[in-house]
Amino acid sequence: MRLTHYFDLAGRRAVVDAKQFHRNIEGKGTVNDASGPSAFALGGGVYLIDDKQKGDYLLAGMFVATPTGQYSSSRVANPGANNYTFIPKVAYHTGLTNKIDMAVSADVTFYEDNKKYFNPLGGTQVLKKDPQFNTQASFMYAVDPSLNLNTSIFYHEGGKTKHSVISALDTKTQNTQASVGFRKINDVGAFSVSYKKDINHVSVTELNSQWDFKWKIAW
Amino acid sequence: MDFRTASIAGALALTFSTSSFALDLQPYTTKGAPIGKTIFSLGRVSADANTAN
Repeated sequence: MRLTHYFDLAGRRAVVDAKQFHRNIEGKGTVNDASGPSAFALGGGVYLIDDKQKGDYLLAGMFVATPTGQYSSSRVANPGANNYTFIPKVAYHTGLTNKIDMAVSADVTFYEDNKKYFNPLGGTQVLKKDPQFNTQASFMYAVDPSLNLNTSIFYHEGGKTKHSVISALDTKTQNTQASVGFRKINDVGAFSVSYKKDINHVSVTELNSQWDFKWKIAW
Repeated sequence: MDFRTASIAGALALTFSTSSFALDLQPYTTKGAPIGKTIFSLGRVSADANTAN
């Protein structure tokens, strides 16, 4: 669930965004089930380029995710987190042709230490995590003014973890993902669907499939 | 109305985490996002992942 508001900031377009997640985890193997509120994220950005005539937009922003969700150090999987996350980000969008648009974005995710992380031997341990780099490139084809087909490629690298007690649990992220989807708009909002999966991964975790459904209403 | 404006904000807003939260990086567009407008979004993400040890 999310609210996004656009406003004028000293003559520039700006945006503020707040969202609350809920997660339902169905564990596999030794991973537990869990369900509850996840992070609350608050962020904003300023349009450094905002050219409707050319269709060029450049946005720089910052997001913070708070440790306000459901969390317990007695289990390995939790809907919420026990640490803050900070995400500075830039995004650029341009029209390549009358029918095709392109968007690229990049961010670095910084993780606060989790000082009460699950320890399978009992008690807790400290979990440190290096910054993670995330990039994305998307192409959107306008079938008509209300419908677009889109495809994206994502690359994530970093996020190496360091467990204070059990170093065998240390992991890092390096994967490439691809998605396809569509977005349909009407007079009051939009509906979009996308499907994503890993196409290459060095990470121990592989994303087999992900379906994403969104509804939006603007006023 | 210009949907590209919202597209950038969507990419920015959603690409904030890849591990701790629901992974949701797909850019989106809406009918428009002029100054003064607010957008309410509701989404559902269903993911299947394996962890190899």
